[in-house]
Amino acid sequence: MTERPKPETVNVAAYWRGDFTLKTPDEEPAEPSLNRLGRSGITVHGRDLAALLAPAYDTFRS
Amino acid sequence: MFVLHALWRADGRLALWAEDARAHPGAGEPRPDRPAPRAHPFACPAGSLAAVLGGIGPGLGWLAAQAPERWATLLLPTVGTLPAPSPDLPVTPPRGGAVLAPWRVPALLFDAGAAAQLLGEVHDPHWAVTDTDLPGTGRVEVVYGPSLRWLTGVHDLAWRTVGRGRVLPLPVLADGRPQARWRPDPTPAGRHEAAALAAGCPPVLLGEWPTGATTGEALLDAALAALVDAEARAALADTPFPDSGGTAADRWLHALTTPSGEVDAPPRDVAELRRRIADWYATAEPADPALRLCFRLVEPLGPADDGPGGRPSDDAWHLEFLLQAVDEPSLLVRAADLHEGGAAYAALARRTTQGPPAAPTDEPAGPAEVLAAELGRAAHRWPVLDGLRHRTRPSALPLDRTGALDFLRTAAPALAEAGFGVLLPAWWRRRPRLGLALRATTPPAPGTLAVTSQVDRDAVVAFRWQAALGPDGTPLTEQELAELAAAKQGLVRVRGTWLEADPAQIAAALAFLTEQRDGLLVAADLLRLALDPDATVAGLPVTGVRVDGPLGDLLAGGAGAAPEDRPPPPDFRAELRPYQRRGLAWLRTMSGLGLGAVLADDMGLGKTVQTLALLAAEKHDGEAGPTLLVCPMSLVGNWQREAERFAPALRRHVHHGAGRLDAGQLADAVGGVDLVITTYGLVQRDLAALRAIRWRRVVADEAQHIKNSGTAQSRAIRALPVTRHRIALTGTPVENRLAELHAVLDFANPGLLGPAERFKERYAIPVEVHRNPGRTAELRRRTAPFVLRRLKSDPAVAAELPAKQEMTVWCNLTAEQAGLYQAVVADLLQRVEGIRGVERRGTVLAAIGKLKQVCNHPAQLLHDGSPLGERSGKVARLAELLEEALAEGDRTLVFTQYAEFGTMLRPYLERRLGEEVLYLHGGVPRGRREELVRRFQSPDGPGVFLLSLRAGGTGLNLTAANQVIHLDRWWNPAVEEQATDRAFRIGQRRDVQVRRLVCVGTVEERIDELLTAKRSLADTVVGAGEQWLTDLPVEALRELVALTREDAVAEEDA
Repeated sequence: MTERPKPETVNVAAYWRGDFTLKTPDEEPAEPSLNRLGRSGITVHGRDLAALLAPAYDTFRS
Repeated sequence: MFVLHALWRADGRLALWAEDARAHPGAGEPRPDRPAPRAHPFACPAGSLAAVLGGIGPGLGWLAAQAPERWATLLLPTVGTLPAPSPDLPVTPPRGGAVLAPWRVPALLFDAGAAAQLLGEVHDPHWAVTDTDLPGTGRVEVVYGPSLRWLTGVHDLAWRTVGRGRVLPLPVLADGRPQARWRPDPTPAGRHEAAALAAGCPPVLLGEWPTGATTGEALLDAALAALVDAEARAALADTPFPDSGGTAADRWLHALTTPSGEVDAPPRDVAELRRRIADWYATAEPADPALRLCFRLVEPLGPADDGPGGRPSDDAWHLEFLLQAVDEPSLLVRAADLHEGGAAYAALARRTTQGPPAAPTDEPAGPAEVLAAELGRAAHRWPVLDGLRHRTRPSALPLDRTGALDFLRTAAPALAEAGFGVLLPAWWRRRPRLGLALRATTPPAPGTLAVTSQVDRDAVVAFRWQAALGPDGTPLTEQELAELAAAKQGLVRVRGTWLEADPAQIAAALAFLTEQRDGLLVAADLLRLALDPDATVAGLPVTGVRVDGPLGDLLAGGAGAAPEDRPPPPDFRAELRPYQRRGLAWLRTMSGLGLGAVLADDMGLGKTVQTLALLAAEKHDGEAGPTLLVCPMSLVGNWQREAERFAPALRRHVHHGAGRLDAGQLADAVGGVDLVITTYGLVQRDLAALRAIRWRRVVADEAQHIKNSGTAQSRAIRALPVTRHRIALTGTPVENRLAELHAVLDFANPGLLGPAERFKERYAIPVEVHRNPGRTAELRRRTAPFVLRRLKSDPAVAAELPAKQEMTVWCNLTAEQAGLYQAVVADLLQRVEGIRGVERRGTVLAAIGKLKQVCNHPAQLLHDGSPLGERSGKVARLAELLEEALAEGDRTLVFTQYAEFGTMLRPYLERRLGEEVLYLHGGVPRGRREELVRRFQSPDGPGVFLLSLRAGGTGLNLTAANQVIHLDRWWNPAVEEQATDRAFRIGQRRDVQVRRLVCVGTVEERIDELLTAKRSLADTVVGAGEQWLTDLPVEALRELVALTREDAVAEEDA
């Protein structure tokens, strides 16, 4: 007959709380991801995908 | 009071649940012990939870009203039979140690869109407490538990990420269904924030039971990705991409703004679109152009087999990340060391801040930030790296064997193509292949055919195959092969060497070895296997061939490993130098093995005499059969004279000229001779007659004549039947011209090196253009056994050569020359009959002068300005010698006593050689003369200097030359010596070869005999000049000038 392993005890407070802090971040200047890319070479209805996506990025930042 | 808790479920939904302090049973209250998971005793019912949310605000109330109620199961700290209350619940915690146990809680579920709204409503970085207005109860305090607050933090990051446009759309396959997703592409600050959240994730969020996220990074990655996608869709809800149908790209674009994100397109098309888009993203500008992210795959390390810890796990691979300075590649810092500081780190950091940015970028340039950003960029090429995005200090990625192989096969090339550094184990570049190694022994095993001590190509050798590994063909034991077979596929370590196991190859090896492990093979087939780098047996590469005996020596050491030198037979009338005796021994070995030989010694080292010594030795040993020697027309006389001189015992026949034998006569004549000399032109013309004879050997002299294997001439010589072997003689350094090398070797050993095109493809570009050392070594290994080339500059050879080597080069007359020659002789003999004294002397001298002119070229006698063309055997031979000398990098002085001939010769030679030819004669003014000498002596001066004997024979220092050619004979040898000494004098650092061109059967030959064979007599008789000739009686004069030999004339069209 084998002995059942004893479960490990747990730190109750640490288990619930973790170790993080919510912050209000400073305004960070950021360039949209699309700006770091050139033409995609993928054409949809005769237009490059990068050009088609550009309005969406304008919307995100508006 | 309520404490709200959250769980981000594996199904991508938010589960919200709450503890209700009022329902807490209190300490000491007994609870029945039921099987797990049990219902949480003080969790708030879902309906009550909805009411709590509604009481906080109408937005939350509306969301709660839409949310389905479900049970969620999670691991919670448990004391005894009760879950431990969270620290924010104002109840007395139970005493005793807590262990984790699963508990079922009633929860409200929110999909990603609703979860984003809810978390946005709840988010407050400063306050964790609010209140709710419950019907019938009034205001009750509500605490947002850490798990919920943590998710609000993740959502806030997602919201800001979208708001800054730091997202990239991707097609993905979720559960096999194509989806359009917005993925986060955080800024460096965002990455920091995400890493901090991941590191501080409350463990309760990882407690979904039985299957939850295993790490904070994984949970954060899943939640952030879902929330970013939801926020991006929400932002675009009013400006969707139109649904225009059509291609997968159209449909995917539309799905980026639909609530479900599902793409109505075939998964295969969507996968292809994903590949193209990932390639596009990987082309994004590097985070910092001064630094490069590198990946180094590290094999499992650990104790050796016999070490205390045993063998390391074969699955403990890891991929290490490093940063490299682009302008100083040796500055390579491990990611693990980036946070440790130090000099290397400082050097990297300086580069990130010193150099101006290549393009406007928002990326701060700290090395750690660059590492994180570049890992994100690399993840587009290898999505496995996605999992590291939120790790605080990513330094390496553990991989098992499958992962390592995936990296080696697919990720490494893709990452390298995108500009990342990739450092792979050395063995991967020269991937060890499973193959077969052959071990052959001579003589064969007892019971098989006996073999003589002299192995020939038809000899039978006994062989045994073994499975082998790697480029060195290390044989594997049966046990090791069995282990390999058990591994089936993937990366396997055998004898400390990793290889990619191929089940088909392993099965093929096992099957082959079971059926055909041992047997007998003829030597020629063995050679083919040994020398063909692409040789395969049963579909497996032949990785090594080991043979013992002379064949093995030849394969191991090439031509240089020829057996001990052998003296020529006693009746051979030349003293061979030691290197020539080694050449003779090698030729005998090759003949014995039936292998073709290419004797490619430098000009002047005695290819002719070595070949004749071989024939003489075989005749002496009673080995019969005719050798056909094929040479250019200009060399027929030379071969004939050299054979007469050195090997008089050889019975010779010259198949040449208008009076040559027809097919029947030739066959009869050849029956009794040892050496038949003919020309390339006649092999083609008389092929039928020559093919009817079974030649013991065919020798191609000046074998560069067959360099183009497609010509009729080359095909003809290859078509001659040979019983023993072929020899090619060439002084042209063919190893530098691979097409020629193949043609010459293919003549010597047809088919042994494969087709010309394959040979060219394998070696031409890699060796000639790229100087690839591997291919060069392989080429040398394949050709070395068949090519013996010694250079006159080789120290060992040079030590055996005299500083000044003098040779007579025998030339033939063309038919035109012979006709003119005989006309001059007839005229002379007729005219001297009736004249005496001064008139006779004048007539004789004039006639002899004419004869020498004829020997040079008909145009010199005729003074008609006619083109030189192919009208002179001597000029043809001169041109060949100069071509050979130029090819070897030698520089040559060419002396003639006739300034007029020099004037005719110079433009002809320039056209023929394609090089400038300097010419010095008596009419050249002093200043110009000095200029010519200076140019010739300069290191890059012209290779040929033509001089009239009178103007250039004395006083000049021309030590840049190491070749001297005397075109015509001067009666006084001292004049020739003086001319020769222009090159052979103080300041000369190389050995000098001196050649005197002499036309066979003419007055030139008689004079040569006088000047060489009877040197002492000549010194007294002819020392005074040409005067003595004029007093010779008519008969003696006739003997001197007559065209006396049938073989004096050689003409292709005779």
